[in-house]
Amino acid sequence: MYNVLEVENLCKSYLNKRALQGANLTLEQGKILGLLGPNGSGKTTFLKIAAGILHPSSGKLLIDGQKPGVYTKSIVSYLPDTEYLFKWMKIKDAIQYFKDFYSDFDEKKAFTLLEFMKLDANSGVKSLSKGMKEKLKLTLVLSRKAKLYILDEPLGGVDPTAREKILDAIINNFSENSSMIITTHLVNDIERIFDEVAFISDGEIVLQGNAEELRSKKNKSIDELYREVFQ
Amino acid sequence: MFHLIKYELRGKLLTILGICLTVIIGNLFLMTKVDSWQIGAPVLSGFLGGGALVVICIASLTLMSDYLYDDQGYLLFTLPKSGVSIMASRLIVAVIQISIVVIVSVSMFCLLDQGRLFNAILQQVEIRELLYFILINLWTIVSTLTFMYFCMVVGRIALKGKKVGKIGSFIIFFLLSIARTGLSVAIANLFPQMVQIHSVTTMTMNVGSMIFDIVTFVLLFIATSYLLEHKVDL
Repeated sequence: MYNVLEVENLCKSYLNKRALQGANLTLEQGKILGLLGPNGSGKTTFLKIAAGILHPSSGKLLIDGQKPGVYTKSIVSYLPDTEYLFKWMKIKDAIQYFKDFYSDFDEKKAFTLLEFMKLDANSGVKSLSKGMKEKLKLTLVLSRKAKLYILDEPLGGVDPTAREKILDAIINNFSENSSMIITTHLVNDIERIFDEVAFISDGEIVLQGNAEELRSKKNKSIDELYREVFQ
Repeated sequence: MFHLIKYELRGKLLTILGICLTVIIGNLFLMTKVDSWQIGAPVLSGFLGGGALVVICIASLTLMSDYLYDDQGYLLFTLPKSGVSIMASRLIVAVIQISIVVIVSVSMFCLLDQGRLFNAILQQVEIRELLYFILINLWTIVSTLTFMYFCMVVGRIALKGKKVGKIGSFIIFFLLSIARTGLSVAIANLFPQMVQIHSVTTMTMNVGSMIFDIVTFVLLFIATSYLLEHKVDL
């Protein structure tokens, strides 16, 4: 197994704030990592650097052995927690957009996922509810055969039924040749799919390990462990 | 890059259509008044075309600012595209949309004027000179937009807030414009060789300044592309 993601002493500073302070992390191929932490702990900053839309102040982050750039963007499928699709688009336009720009995009899979998510390809992006937009974004992101999936709060603002649907989509569409990083506050809902977890606090990884080993070692669920670490 | 241009044009379609329809409807109205307003009608048509040009030029600035400050940036900057592709596609889209508006405005003016001014120009200048005129204007649009995009990107990188960033970009534009003009004048004084270009009007241009403008454009294009790819933080 090789490491898809390698992070060493990653720092990101803004004018008066240090968002990341020497974060270290590795992620093996075929693993799903839960990156867990409270608001403002540096999760999104970390993911944005990996996605190539934020640049580190110092330290090293390598994806498939490369610094974030044009190549890594072609193998990273990133789900941001923003509404980034063009408002003029219909769902089918968004699918065409991804097909045009990503050579690893599987159009057939996208339409299968749309059906699973009960989304109409002719609906306008503007007319979708928050939950539906989240499902659409996830459809687009999971329809790529990427080496690394980065999902920032995929369950944010979504009702419990939709959460189950989204989790099923993630599990069913994950391949062993890929890896995934997921951030969430809804640890209890999602912890069953994590192979690894990393707790981040004030820009530092304070605890990382195999999810199952942590559960048996501490005799606690990841959700309980999360509450203990960040109480 | 073709896809970047395609989606950008699709996004701006309503803006372009809106401006063109306004020009067409405005000119159709003016055509009904040609007899009573006489010279006033073509003059107003010219103002309408000028106004449309200003609006589409402002819209061309949003080709960059929308992605620097809005969530759409997540869509553009996560694509496996180089800074050069992104920058070149912005300029090509800007030229296409400005050209469409200019063509519609000029065509409507010619219809209103029944081709009198156009014929008069054609009698006095050769086609080659008309092409020079078009090329010089295209060059002006491309080099000016490159300069403005550079200032926007530098403002975005240097100043994080949306409001502060936009005001900062304007200040950077203002200061760099002064510096650029000063340098251009200094170069023109240092190398006073001139060349005459016979366009619709005969223009005398300083060779040193022309070379300076071309070098500045290339440097700004490369710098903006680099900054877009390596320095812009969303």
